[in-house]
Amino acid sequence: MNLKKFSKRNLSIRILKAGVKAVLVYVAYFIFTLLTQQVYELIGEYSPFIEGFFIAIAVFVFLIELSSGTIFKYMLEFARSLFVIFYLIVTLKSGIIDVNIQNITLMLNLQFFLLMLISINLIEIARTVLSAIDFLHKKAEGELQPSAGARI
Amino acid sequence: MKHVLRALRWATIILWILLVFLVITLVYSSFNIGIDVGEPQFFVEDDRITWAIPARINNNGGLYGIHDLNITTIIEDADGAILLKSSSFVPLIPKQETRQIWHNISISLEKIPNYQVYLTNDTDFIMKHSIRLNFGKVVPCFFIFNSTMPWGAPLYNLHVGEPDCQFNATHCIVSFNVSFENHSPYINLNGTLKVEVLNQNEEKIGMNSFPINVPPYQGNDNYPAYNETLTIPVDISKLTRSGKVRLTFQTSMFSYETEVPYELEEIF
Repeated sequence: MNLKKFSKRNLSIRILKAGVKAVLVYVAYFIFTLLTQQVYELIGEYSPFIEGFFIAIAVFVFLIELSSGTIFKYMLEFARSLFVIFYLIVTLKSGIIDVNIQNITLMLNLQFFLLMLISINLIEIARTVLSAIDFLHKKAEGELQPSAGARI
Repeated sequence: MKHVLRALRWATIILWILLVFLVITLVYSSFNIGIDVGEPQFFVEDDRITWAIPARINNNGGLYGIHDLNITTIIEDADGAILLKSSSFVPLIPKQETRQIWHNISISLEKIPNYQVYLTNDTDFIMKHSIRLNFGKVVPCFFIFNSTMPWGAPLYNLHVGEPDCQFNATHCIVSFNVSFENHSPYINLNGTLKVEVLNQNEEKIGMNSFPINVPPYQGNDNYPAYNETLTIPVDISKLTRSGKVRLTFQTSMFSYETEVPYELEEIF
């Protein structure tokens, strides 16, 4: 690791960039809550899970951006995809959710969407692994070109 | 490697776009479905009561069809015993179309287990409705909701008075009072009340039939009532000190039988 590049100034810029990206995730959460205001009664039971999901994603985005240009970035991306898969399986109760509104019980089978999200994240995992291999390969060959940002 | 990574990135992007498109169109379509449930109508046929619930399902604004719509109603008594089950099935309500459906719940009193209990006792039946559908063949949904249906007994508070005997030279005239209230808003008690007097040896010693006509309960506080003193001539030669009077209510909807013992102080 090239620790010489890990200066205080670069670290501040990284933290700033990571912070901005995490805030953007929060803004996305805010927009999501605004859009789902009409059906909040339906998903109200699941709001802690949705909030938890966005918090976790914001943390991942912050850490991934902070570790950009290092192997940790790929490890964190891998972990994020795994987290999303398992979190969705657990919170969506394997794709079948039930909601109680007053006297009515509504059961929704979201297995199709769950399957699609898992597929997307599996492709993401494959891409992350290949990116990590590519990164290590380039680094080993000494082709990794230092850019404006700091590199470890 | 570069091309593989690029292909995977594009695959992810395309799948995300498809997923978001699907979610947005499904949510939009589901909000455009209109369901108007009309006033239930009931029909009394010979041996059954039918509730017909009209529903108009408007999928005009929808982008996806509603497949395999199945509406099921289960009626249970207060103890949870299933009295009847009724289903309506619509295979498809295509997008941009409206369908009118009738969900019929039909009760044949005599097919209900222990239906005699409900002829003399008011109760609340539990109606469990379930609606199952597959929206766009992508999102299967299942709704359940319960409601209660008050049941008014057609022979509520059935009371048969103590039989009394009045003797003449050849016959004895047995008389007693019969009273009840019709609490049912559906059943018009139009039929006959058959009365048989049996002696100790189960021999029929007297018989008579009486017409009954008690209209259904109309919803005010006054329940239509039947209160009559019935008289039956009895063959005095076969009369025993004790015996029983058998009453059989016969209407097109049900048949109900009850017995009252009698005890005479003296026989001429």
